[in-house]
Amino acid sequence: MVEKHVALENDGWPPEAAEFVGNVSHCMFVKHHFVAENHCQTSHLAVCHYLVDIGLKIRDSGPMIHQIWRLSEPGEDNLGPAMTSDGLVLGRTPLLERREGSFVVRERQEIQRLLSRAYRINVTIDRLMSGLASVASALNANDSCLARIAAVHLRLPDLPDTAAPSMEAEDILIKSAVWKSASQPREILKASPDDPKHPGWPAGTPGGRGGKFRPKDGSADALAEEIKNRISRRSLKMNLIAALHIGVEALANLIPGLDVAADVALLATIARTLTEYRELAIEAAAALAFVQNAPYSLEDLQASSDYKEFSNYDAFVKGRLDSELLFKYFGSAGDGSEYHHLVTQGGANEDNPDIPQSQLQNTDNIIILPTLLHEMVSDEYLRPAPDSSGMTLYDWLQTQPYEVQREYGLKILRDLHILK
Amino acid sequence: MEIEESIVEVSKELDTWWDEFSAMLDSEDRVAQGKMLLRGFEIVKEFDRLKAEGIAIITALLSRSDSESDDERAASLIRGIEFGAKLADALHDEFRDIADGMTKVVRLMDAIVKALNAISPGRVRLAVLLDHPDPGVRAVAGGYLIDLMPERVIPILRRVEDSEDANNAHFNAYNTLLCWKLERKSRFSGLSA
Repeated sequence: MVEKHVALENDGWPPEAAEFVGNVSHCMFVKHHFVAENHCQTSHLAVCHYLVDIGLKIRDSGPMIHQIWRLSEPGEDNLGPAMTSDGLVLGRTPLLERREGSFVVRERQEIQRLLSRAYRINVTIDRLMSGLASVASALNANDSCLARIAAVHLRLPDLPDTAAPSMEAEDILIKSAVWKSASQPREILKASPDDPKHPGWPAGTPGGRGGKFRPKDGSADALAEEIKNRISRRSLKMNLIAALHIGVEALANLIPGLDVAADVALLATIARTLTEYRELAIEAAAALAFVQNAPYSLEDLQASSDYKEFSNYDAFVKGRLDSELLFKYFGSAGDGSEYHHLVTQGGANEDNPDIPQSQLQNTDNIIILPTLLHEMVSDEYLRPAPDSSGMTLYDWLQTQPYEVQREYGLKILRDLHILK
Repeated sequence: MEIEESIVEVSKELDTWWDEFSAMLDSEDRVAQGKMLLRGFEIVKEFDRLKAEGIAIITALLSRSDSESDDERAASLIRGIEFGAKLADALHDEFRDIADGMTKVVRLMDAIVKALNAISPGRVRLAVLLDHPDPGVRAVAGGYLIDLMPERVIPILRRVEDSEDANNAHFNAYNTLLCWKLERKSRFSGLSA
């Protein structure tokens, strides 16, 4: 850790500033473009935090806003820019890549997409591209100190905590071969029972597996992988069907004339339609990324490990909490994610005297899932009840005790390989 | 090719289509994108056609022919359950078409079992499906028979639940066992009420 500090009081800064900055841990304060060269020579370089103080703004009566630019430590929980052996990352997403042993800046369009997705605004990246080029250049010259300085000068804010998965999902899309070279022919892999490279289940295999990819080694892990892929595909399929149905109604009769007269209105309609599919692509990538890392513990999926209960769902989403919890609970579940109740809310549970709302609206019962997976889990409750009473499973389960409902909620997640 | 196999094929086509179409989303080539959308529309229309055809087949089985003997009629209805179970599995497992497609098929299977039960010796004839090679068919048959022959059905459903993973057969087997454990009801219980 960096030990050297720049004493604030020496600069005559207001006491509020010193107090504020003093609360930031693990910081080395660097005024303007200050660089402590000797730090770059220490063995602690890997965990150095470089900060550029770009100014102190104190309003007459409002709170002080002190903007600090720094590098974070890389890791699973990182949300800021950080240096790793693979170059510069934002959160966990690389902004540089290696080509033939050298660091290069990722394609401009990729950086634009990643940052726009991360910060949910259109980011102007001209400045960033030249800055990233400086970082890459310094890394290629083995000047990690200069690379870090250049990285700090990018002035990249930390990601909102809900943005990291979205950015990673966008990255998965970008990195998939199809996104990267849309114009290049792509090999469509076909499964075959006789193909050792792409083995498939023979036609007629029970469970609807006929013709699908079969794990090469038949191991439990490989089978689980295959099931994960199947689940992520299935989570997307109904949404695709729904989107295409809309298209059939709106566009199918118009597009055949596209070759002859591609009028502006039609092209605009297609462009709008593509936007919807693009959102679906993002959601699909998020679901796939989530499933690939599954199964999770219940604690992993919960909004907080601290138990809190609420009088109703609105209170959970919008309720007044202390500032730390407020950061986690307020608002939506995050971009591309939704809240899921293990024991369902609404329906008969809403007025069930045996199940108070606080038993439903609490951090133990509400978890966060990617949107497509949440829809997939919810759809399992829409199947007919097992007693042919005419109810759905959702309604039938709500006639059962809380413990039965909760066990069922956990079971569905386990069966879908989401929960350990 | 059976309809459920065709549904699996369409599902694979949709996968391939999505892989190719998603690759074009950032392109500015609206004509190529439009053509690809047309292909997608064709796939979804084929899916709709197969689903409608499957449902029509089961519906037709429920219309009794005057020339049929009871045994012929029962055999025809049992084939309807076998077909319906596979169709429901394909709709669930391939397309997550639960609220609409799968539910319609299940309701039709309920109607088939009611019709079968009206023919002596009744729904017990479904027991032949408990040995069916397709676990989805075994799970459906078990759902209608668990109250009649629990000693035979429960181990079969447990095996289906254990051997099948994240698919309709698995959920069917589990739900039937849960309902039996909690309420001592089969899928037929509500039909006969």
